[in-house]
Amino acid sequence: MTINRRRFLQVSGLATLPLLNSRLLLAADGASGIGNGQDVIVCVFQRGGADGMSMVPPLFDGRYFDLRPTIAIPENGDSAALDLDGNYGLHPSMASLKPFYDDGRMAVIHATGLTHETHSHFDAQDIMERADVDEQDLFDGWLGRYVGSATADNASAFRAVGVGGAIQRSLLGMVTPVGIQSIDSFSLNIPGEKNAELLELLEQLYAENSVLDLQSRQAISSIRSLADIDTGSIQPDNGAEYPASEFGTEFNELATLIKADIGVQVGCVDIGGWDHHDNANQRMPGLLADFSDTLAAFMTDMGDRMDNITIVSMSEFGRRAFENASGGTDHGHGNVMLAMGNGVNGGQVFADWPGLQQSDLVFNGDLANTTDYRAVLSELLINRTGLEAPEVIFPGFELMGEQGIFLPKA
Amino acid sequence: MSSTSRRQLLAQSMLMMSAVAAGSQLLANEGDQSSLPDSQLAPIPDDVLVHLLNRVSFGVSSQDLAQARYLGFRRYIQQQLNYQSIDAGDVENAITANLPTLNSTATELINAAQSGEMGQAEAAIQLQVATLARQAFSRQQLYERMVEFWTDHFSVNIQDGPIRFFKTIDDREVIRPHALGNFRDLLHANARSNAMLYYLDNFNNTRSGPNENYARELMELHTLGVDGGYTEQDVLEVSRCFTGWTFDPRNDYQFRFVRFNHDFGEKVVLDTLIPAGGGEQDGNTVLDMLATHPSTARFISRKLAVRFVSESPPEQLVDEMAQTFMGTDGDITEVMRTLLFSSAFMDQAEAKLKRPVDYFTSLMRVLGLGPDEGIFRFLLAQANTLGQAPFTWPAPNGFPDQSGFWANTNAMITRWNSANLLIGRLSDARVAALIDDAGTPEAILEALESGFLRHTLPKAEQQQVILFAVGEQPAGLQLSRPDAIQAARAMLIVLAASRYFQSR
Repeated sequence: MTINRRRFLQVSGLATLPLLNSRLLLAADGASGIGNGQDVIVCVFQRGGADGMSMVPPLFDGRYFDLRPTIAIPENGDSAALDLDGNYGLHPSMASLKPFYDDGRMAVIHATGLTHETHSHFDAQDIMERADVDEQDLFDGWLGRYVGSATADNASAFRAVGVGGAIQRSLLGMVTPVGIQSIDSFSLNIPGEKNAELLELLEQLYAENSVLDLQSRQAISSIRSLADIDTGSIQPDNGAEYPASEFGTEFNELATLIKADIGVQVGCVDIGGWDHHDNANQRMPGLLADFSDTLAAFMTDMGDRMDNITIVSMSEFGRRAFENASGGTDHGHGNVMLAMGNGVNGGQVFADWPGLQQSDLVFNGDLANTTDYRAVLSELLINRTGLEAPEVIFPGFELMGEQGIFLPKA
Repeated sequence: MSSTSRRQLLAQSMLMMSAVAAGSQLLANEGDQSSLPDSQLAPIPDDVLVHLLNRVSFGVSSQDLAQARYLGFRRYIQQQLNYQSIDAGDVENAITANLPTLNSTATELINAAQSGEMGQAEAAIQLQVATLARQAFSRQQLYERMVEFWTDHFSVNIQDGPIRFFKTIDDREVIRPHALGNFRDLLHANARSNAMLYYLDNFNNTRSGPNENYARELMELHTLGVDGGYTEQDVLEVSRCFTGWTFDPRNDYQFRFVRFNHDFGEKVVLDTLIPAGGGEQDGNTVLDMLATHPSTARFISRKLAVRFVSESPPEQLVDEMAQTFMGTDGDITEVMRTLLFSSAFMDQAEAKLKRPVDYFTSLMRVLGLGPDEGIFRFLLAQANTLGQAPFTWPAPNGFPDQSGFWANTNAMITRWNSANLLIGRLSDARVAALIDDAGTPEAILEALESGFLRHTLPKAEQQQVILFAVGEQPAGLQLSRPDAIQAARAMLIVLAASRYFQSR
């Protein structure tokens, strides 16, 4: 029964986070995720159920325009989709990502996502982040399992970073992640000698193994690591300009941490506000521009570092194939993922298109899902981190051949 | 001392209490009128009262602890449940004097914002400030806890369009009047609230293309729970039932049913036929079905138990609460009575992590700060920094009630810093009052352990705290008054940051 599953998880989340071995408790400053043969993985979660068919409209499928008479992204005119491959288009507000697609550094995966049938935001996000599609009561998140695996051999305090006010569920696991909202405020606000003394005292007072202790000690070691670095001198490179939005600001913080070379192995950043049950035409453009301009700025800022960084985006589900009377869409199923980086076999749309005829749709009229998102992530980990056994990260999932979304790491 | 030993301490207190024969009467239910007044029983250990206040209030103030000692466990709860008998005190006067938008209509707020007479965000800010002030300073503490609970349960985001105005009405006329009332009434009022109609798009849900947003969250979040036994087809059918429900800008944005937009066809909801032609009644029928559904009784009971008892409440408690819920047609006060007088409530001394606002209000309450306008705005600034400003959770499920969500590196640092900021702002007189006439480091610490932390540190930690506060000086050395106050301030910073102040 799923109630029991959820309850179990809530409890275990508090009480029984596995103990860390002592090596992992000590932050080894300077250990770098880059250069150890693995890409830094940056995971972007679009909270709320982003409308993949507005991000990457299937222009070749006439049914798309029938089902969405007022909100389809048109093929022609001022607000036309940008052509990707003669079949699919890109939302015009995502223009800043088009050059990356064109030169092969961005790939689109369509009709993909979570295969679980839930249409609840909260269940879908939770299941997707834990990659617990078969409800096996997995506690860790998929990235938490990856960081805790032997493949990701890195003892930095900053190996797993969740940017924002809360830690993403996908990061939970054997390694205590660092939650950071702003580097500037990531320190104690006490002047003088007392500052270091209080840090030391708190470290002693939080010497046990509860979640509170682990988080507190992780906070203290992270504060110390950051204090050794002049993060103020790290500015966006290559003329990159991050949007002044929350998402843009948070990505800029992640970029700073990566450029500080303090061992970031995975980073998560969320962007919310995608639950467009109404007025999609008004709500979508600004949000997509923020999303795209931020990712474009990040890739520009990173420059050659993108050889060793891969970004992947996901959302808990796509939206209903047809629009509702409010000019929006209700919760759906199949969706879009984006993969970006120099190690991406980009410039193409990977899709086994299920079609939009009534008989093609699933549930109450949703795009079907023909590519399990775990297949995309397995390919990512195999090719870009050298992970040999993706079933450790995705228990119960078997990868049935690769689509070639990611280039094997040189 | 580890949290385990703290639990043991509380268990011992409970044991002692029952040994003194208070137990059965202490936990007697409302029907038991024969029990002695608590004042004639053996005194109830402070540990038990502190546990009670930690759960039903926003922090253990000296005033409330004194009141609980005077009334005893049972009568304190009875009084808090009968909240209208408690004078809310200075805080309502301060709110009336300083936060005038709390009493405005939706039209007044919108007009004032449009004419530039008032800032666009002013009504939202005043409501946020009032909410935090009531939590920190009202004497109707359990009631404010219930208001907080239902605010999360029927969460709307105050940053979403006109909700910045509508939430003031929703808070005043929907959440607060029913917070300890009847769930069915609350649900019906909420379904007609312009804030909820707007937030979950029901206001433009029409027969030409039903909008499922409200229908889904109504069942998943407000009533049955995600595993409560509804299907995707039910979501669609319920959304059809609510077509035509909207608000009327020409009538102060109040609820209006627009026949033209309603789908008058028959519907089947949860295997029950709703005949064609029902009109506005369709929605009412659905709300009644959901309000009295056994899944709802369990879902609400469990959620209350998670909030007030433990993150994994005993099944038996949830069963008992659900029975009360079903037997009283959703009387929230009675469900809470079942919870608060259950043995599980006392058994579960396992600490719950304070949410950020709990942390900050408990700090203010234990420090004995009172309602004044300077503190009001400071409270909101801190709630923003801590990531829990009222009504700003971006999704319809409300701020999480899981410790795992709130415990992370960023959150710990933010907590420590907000406490440092508040303690740094305290006047010398305020700090002096906390330590009375204690003059040696060990006496100062003892005063703060009993009056602030309400917990005694293990000896080794006492020594560490004293070392931090006064350096290598002897713990028994008599300090000058200014030095004593300075030492107390340093100790407060450590105690507020310590594990013992993080949970409730």
